Amino acid sequence: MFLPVLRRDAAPGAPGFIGAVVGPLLVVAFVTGIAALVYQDATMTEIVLLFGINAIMVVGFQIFAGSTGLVSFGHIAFMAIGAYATAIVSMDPFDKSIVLKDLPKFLFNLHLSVIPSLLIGGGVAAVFALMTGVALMRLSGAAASIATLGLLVITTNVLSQASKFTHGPQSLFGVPQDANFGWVFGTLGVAVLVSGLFKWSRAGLQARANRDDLIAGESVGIASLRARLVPFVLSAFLTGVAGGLYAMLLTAFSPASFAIPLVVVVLTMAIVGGVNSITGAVVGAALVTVLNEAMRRVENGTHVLGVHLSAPTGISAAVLGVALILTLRWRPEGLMSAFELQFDRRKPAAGEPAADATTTAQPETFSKGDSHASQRV
Amino acid sequence: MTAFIQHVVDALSVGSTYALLALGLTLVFSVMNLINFAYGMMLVWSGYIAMGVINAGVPFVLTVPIVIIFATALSVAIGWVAFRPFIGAPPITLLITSFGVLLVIQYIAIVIYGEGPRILQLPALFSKDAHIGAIRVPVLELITIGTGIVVVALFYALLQRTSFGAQLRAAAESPNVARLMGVKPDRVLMIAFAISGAIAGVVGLLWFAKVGALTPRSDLNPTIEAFIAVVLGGLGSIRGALLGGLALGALETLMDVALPNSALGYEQAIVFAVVIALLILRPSGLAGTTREAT
Amino acid sequence: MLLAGENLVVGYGSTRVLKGFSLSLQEGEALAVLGANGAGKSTLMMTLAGLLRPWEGSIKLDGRDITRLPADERPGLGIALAPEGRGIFTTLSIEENLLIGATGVKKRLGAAEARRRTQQTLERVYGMFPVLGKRRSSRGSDLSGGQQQMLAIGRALLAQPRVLLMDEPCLGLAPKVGNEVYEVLRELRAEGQSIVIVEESSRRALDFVDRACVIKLGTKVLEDRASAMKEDDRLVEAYFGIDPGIDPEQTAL
Repeated sequence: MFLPVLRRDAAPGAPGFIGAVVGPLLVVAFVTGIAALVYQDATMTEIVLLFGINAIMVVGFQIFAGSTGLVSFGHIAFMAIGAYATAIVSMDPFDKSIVLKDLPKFLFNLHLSVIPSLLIGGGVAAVFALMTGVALMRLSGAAASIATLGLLVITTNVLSQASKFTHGPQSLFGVPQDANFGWVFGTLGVAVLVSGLFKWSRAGLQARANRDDLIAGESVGIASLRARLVPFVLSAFLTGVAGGLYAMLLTAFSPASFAIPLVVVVLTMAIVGGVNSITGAVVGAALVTVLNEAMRRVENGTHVLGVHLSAPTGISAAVLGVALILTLRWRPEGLMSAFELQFDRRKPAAGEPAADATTTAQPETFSKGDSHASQRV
Repeated sequence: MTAFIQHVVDALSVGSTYALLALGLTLVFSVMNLINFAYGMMLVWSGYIAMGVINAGVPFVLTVPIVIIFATALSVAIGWVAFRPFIGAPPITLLITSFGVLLVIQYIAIVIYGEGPRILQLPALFSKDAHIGAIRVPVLELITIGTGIVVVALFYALLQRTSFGAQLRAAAESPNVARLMGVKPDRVLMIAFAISGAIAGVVGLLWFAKVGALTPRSDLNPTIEAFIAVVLGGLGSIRGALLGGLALGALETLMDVALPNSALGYEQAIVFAVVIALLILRPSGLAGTTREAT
Repeated sequence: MLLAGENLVVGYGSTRVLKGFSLSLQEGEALAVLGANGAGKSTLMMTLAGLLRPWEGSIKLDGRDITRLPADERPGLGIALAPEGRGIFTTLSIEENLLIGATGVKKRLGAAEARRRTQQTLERVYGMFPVLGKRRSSRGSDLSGGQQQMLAIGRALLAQPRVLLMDEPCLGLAPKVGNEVYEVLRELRAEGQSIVIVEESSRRALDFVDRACVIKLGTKVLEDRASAMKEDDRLVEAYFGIDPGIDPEQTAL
């Protein structure tokens, strides 16, 4: 009898592995079901699809943050690269002649369908991540985060300048509007599957073991570099694909679309949901989206229980800020903490220690330091 | 030759601004490991208050102290309400928390002042150029350099010659031993926020005097420059902050001069690339420090 | 009873280090807490000083419960700790190091009295340790290990302590220097200073204190007058595993 259960680790052996991967997929299926219902409302289609894309972003972010304990402020750079790459290969040459007329011949003539376009978007982002990761993954802690922020700044700067390929700081428009419910939520499912497979694979376990070692203060050696590079590239790939979908949803964007506000949204979703859990990534994305939607209605004036609520535009940003602060203060490990929804053969006894080889220790990345515990003079 | 001197003054002026920014950022970091992403917003708020005060007809001489007092109070209030509960948290948590704080205080600015640019109207003196022999130098740049020197001198006097300063240094070096001596961490932290706020007030005036206009989103540029300067000089080191700021000023001026026009757009990217390279090759920054934000 | 710690249970994370430890100190008394590495000596000191909060148990100073009192308020009540490793501030001068020890005094004695006593104690410390007086403007890092220990003691004295806590004062010091440290402690004791000293090696400590107790794996396994404990070779050997006939301090070169 397989029962759904929340666990930090995966049960041993193949059934355990499968149970661990299937769990988050079921969460996605559930969320997708609800999204499909909401999608029926014509005014909500874009919001639902954006939610799906955000969810892919957060899942991608979580692969990296959960495995390495590093917070990347630069992941949006991969989204931007994915968006532009996908746009370039998927746009009709006729549309390109308007905004990208100086593209090199072979790119100009490329006109690919959805799947290859998205794969290329993800691929280019992944290659970029590989090249920069070799350097960036040597850093740790807040220094690494600041460096990734630099990555974002550099990327948007370069994208703004490389007019031949990107139409410069101006909007690139004319991307085929191919992102529909199927593609977006299908990709989300694939993303969660990939994420689950990685998390419980040898590479994933190694990355997390490495993360826990490093918290003990070791310097970053070659093995660590490799352990971090894999999740970095993988998450960049998924983020790039999300960027491609974004391009195909909005059909027009510019480098300015990929700025700090987007970083904040993804970051908040990841933190509120819990950076150590795939289930958390999906849950966080859903929660923040609902919150944002609620705020949007408040901005436009709405009635709750007979009380008229209204607020100046932009309140969603402030609410996100408050959500971030409250989460970090009261539940820094996020809603799901490191727990995943899984299927286990039986319910584990209360307080049973996870003693098998697939155990991962609870990371302290986001916990508030305790003034009573370990403070050595 | 004259052009060279003008460039040097440029570099010093810009460098002084960055050095002060880095100083304000480092001060709080050294006491609580907080890399404050909301610091640039402190400048923006100082700019808005200055604008309000000036538009109300208050003479500039009074505007300056009013803005500084306001910035100090705002900084202490934010420190007490938003950051004090996080004492002891790891640096990354604090960095993300500061994001949250930024969002809130930015929103308040948006609500009150709107997203459109507002002009900071300063006395005519500030837009003039001074003539020293054959050299023309904007008065504002000279004032900036002078202010930089005065602020740093005051700061060192405070740090080295007062008992607060000793407590601050002790708490920054060994917070636990400092507590054993009776130094109250909250008090030290609030003093750090106060000084950091005062500096933000001063720099805010200088910054927006130069830029001319401000919006609620004008915080990004100062914040990023402050971060770069601090990282360049070495996180946690006050000497490093000053060095880093000056070095960044020099680097930017150099690029303004040396880069061919076609590459000028890439300036920001190049600066950050240099910084990242430095972080990797010499993680402790230019001045080197024993403290790491890991 | 000047200082009383009762049934202290203290730990880190999920590990318990002190498992119900009690101690008592009378006014004017010198007490030694002896134990091997990892037995819990430093944990005990940090708990008494307030850096660690006990999970169970209480600490009372003059009958007043100070268990929950934060570390930065304890010097104000008269508990001063000279921590393991000295804990000298390298970015402060020697005089600044000393004066920072007096941070809590103003509250207890009032500004004028605090100023007077601080000045008085400062001069006395310079009298006791002329080296410190001569180099009062140098940085704390310019001192040798032994001199740093003197500075740590001086700094603790500036808190006008009712209880002086010393955590392994001779760690890392040459034996001769260690003896000098004990000379100073003897002087203080003769003036009536109450002292709790934590040590790994027993001989010098037992010569110095009135009473001693032995801590092993977080619990108190032995307590007696120092003179009695000194004689009891077999007991000491059992808990330390060394032949008390060989004095580690005297064999070190």
